[in-house]
Amino acid sequence: MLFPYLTLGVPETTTDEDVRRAYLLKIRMYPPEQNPDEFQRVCEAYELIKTEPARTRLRLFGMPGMKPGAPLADLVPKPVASERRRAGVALWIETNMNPP
Amino acid sequence: MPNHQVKRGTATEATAGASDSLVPLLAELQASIEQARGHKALGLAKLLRKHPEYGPKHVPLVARAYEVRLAEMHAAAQHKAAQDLLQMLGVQQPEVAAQLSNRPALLVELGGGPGRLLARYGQDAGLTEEIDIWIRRDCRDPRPLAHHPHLTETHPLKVAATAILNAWEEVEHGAIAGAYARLPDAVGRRSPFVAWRLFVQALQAAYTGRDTEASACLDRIDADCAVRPLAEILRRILACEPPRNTREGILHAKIVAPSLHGALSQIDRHLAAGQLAESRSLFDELVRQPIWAGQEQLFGEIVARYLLAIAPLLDRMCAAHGARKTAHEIIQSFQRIPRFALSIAKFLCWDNADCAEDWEAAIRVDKMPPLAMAMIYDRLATLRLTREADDLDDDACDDAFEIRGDDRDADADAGRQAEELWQQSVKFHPLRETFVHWHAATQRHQGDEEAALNAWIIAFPEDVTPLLALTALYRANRTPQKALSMFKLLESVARGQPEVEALRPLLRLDSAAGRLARGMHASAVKDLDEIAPNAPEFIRVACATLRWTCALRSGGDATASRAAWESAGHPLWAFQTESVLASQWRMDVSAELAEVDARVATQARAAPAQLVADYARLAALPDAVWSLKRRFPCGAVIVAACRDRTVDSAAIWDLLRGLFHPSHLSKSTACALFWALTGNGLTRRDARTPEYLAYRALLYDPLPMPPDENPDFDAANDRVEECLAVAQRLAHASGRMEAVQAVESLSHHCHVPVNPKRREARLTDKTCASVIDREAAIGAWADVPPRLKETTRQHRGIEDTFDMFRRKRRTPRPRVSPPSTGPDANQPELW
Repeated sequence: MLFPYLTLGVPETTTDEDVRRAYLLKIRMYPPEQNPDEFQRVCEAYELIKTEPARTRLRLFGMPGMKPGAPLADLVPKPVASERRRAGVALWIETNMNPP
Repeated sequence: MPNHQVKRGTATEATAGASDSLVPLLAELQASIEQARGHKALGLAKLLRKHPEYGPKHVPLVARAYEVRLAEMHAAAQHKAAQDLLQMLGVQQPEVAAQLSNRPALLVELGGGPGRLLARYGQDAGLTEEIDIWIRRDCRDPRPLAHHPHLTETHPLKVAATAILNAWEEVEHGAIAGAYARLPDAVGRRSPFVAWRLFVQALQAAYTGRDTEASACLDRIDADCAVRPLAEILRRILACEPPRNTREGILHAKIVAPSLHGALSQIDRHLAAGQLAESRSLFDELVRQPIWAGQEQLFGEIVARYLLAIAPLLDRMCAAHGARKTAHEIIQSFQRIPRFALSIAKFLCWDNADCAEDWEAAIRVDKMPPLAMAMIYDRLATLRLTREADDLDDDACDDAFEIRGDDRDADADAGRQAEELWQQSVKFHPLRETFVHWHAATQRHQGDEEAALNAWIIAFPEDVTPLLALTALYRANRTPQKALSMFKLLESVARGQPEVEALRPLLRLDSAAGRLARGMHASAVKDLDEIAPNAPEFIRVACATLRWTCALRSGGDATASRAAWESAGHPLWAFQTESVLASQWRMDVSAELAEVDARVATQARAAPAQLVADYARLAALPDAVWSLKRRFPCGAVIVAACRDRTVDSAAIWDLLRGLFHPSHLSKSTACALFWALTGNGLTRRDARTPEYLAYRALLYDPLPMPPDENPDFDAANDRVEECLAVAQRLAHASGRMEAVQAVESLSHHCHVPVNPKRREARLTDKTCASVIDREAAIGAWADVPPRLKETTRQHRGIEDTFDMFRRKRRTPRPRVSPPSTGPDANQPELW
């Protein structure tokens, strides 16, 4: 499970209203019929931090399902593919002139 | 010393020892040419020329060395230097220059030099093919061709190279316009630049997040194409693989922004490879990054997970003491977050256990906000009960029944302590989940349920759940005024809700029954008149029964009320009504029960299926007073009806599931009912057969068996194991997870040491069928074959039983709940 604050894009000092707003925004971005996995992640994240007691529970008891051997990278979202930056023609060709 | 001088010196030294003979020099030159090592080949060719034995026959080899070197220079974009070398060769060694193929000249022209070869492109087939091959395999930079000063603007190579570059520039600037759209037309499938076109298209897809499309384009690029190295780099970027060298790393970093995910993936890779030092180095670097401000939770979570991840590595790599020491060293860098000290302490001292000591330490050390304190106290209370349960389970493995009395005392103590912790919790900050835990625990441990519910209602006055539970509690405790006041509160917060409206006629029934018990017959009838005629069927029958009882008690004419009661039907429900009057309100209803009993017996003979169906519906009735919560009828008449083959399968199953409890297994009348129900259920051979067999196995269990039944211990054990094994096999074969879970759950109630899993492996279909046939034929203890019973009744003292139990026991005893809700299984006064 991803860290819910990163999934919803809210700070750890957030409020119930901000969490709900972020949740509604996200589920609009990821409708279940088009992005079922992402929708599921957003819903799970919302359940984990939607109220102050829930957030305190997360702070005190940590993420649910923590067990030895769980990959660390599973905690944070992968960089979005569409956010890749552009290297430029020259750098690509320079790399090609000295291939690995 | 410059690098090239070192290399040249090395080549010279390498060949100096072989100066006496030309053969080694020739062999080395040949090898260099074959390996396309142009620089070394040219050095060796120069040595060869100076060799005394050098002659015309060596000129082609020297020419090949120059060709390789020139190709190498073009590949490195040293076009001008290559052109100068070629010119110098023509002047100084014309015999070698004459041996050169078209290729060096062509390369010079492709690199921007003037010449006649490119002008013949498209006209000379051989030359065209040679140029296409070079572009496809060796052209690593299309820019010289696109900007070639000696080619016309319409030259096909210049057009294609320009189209590639223009489209690529658009892709790199993120503004797709005409050039990218025209790319498929400008560079066709037969163009030598088609691999470049595919690469540009893949790049565009990758930049815009369409990874699948990008991968499809990359797959179409041939392995020997000059653009293939770039395609591989792009493929690794798409797969989130780390770069393989520094130059690729530069490109990777330029395209993929540094992310926490990437860093953590790298650490994961090191951990998976067992590289503790590398992972620690990366992790130390990561925690020093200024990215954690405002993300203390995430930081704590990542560190805790890292510690858990390295624990197995530490265990493997060091002795236990060393591991702890290493962990201490690692943790030094994390101590800037005070709260995390607790997690570290937990990890180091208690193996990250979520134990009471941790939370008590947290309360003492950290100044927590009230909400956190409330949650910690809630957790402490849960842990207190859990620890008690664990202790009891451990004890249960050591001893049998002797500790049962102590169990209950310890259980009650733990319950009381937990309740105190919950009271502390709600003082800091009332939370609904705390009340839910608290209430559930009071029900399990006979705690002060009223106090828990009252505290819940005070904290959350509009919650329906505690109001309903407290109303039920007051009704069950025969405190009608309190129940009524709770119901008024319920009405004020949830009027119209189904569960509230369902309670209204039941309260009227309670009131009528109470007044009837006190001799206030007229008031009781008034209460009954208040019940709506469209009330549920059970309430109508109970109402008719109470009216009839009122009429009998008041001394008036009971004909009309008797007729109404008789026409209401369902005599078993009338029996339940009278039973509740006797048990709840201490009324002597023997006269009424005699009549009801007769009607039940009549129905049992005439319509046993209807009687059992009524019984099943009664067993499913959820109510604090009028349900079968405390007693259930199981006399001979009922048992006989339950053995009838016309009874509906669903009713049998509902009845068995609703009434069965392991604590009833020591009551002979209850067991008789279960023998009948399981036997009848097994004759159906329906989907529930595995569950019926599992219930049947528990009936064979010799330890809780009623005292008037005298089982042969070993034979009964064997029968238990066999029934459970067949039940498990059938459940697994049916594919119904519900059946598998039910059999598994029931097998935990077994007191004797059996191993059905081992036996299941030896079963055949034929055996299973014969077991089912055998058990279906048994509907009572009397039907059980004599070999399962002791031939002579031996008086077995309690100590003997314990000794035998200890000898036989191999599995832990399941916890036995106090028989508080057990039935008055044999109700002789009522039957």
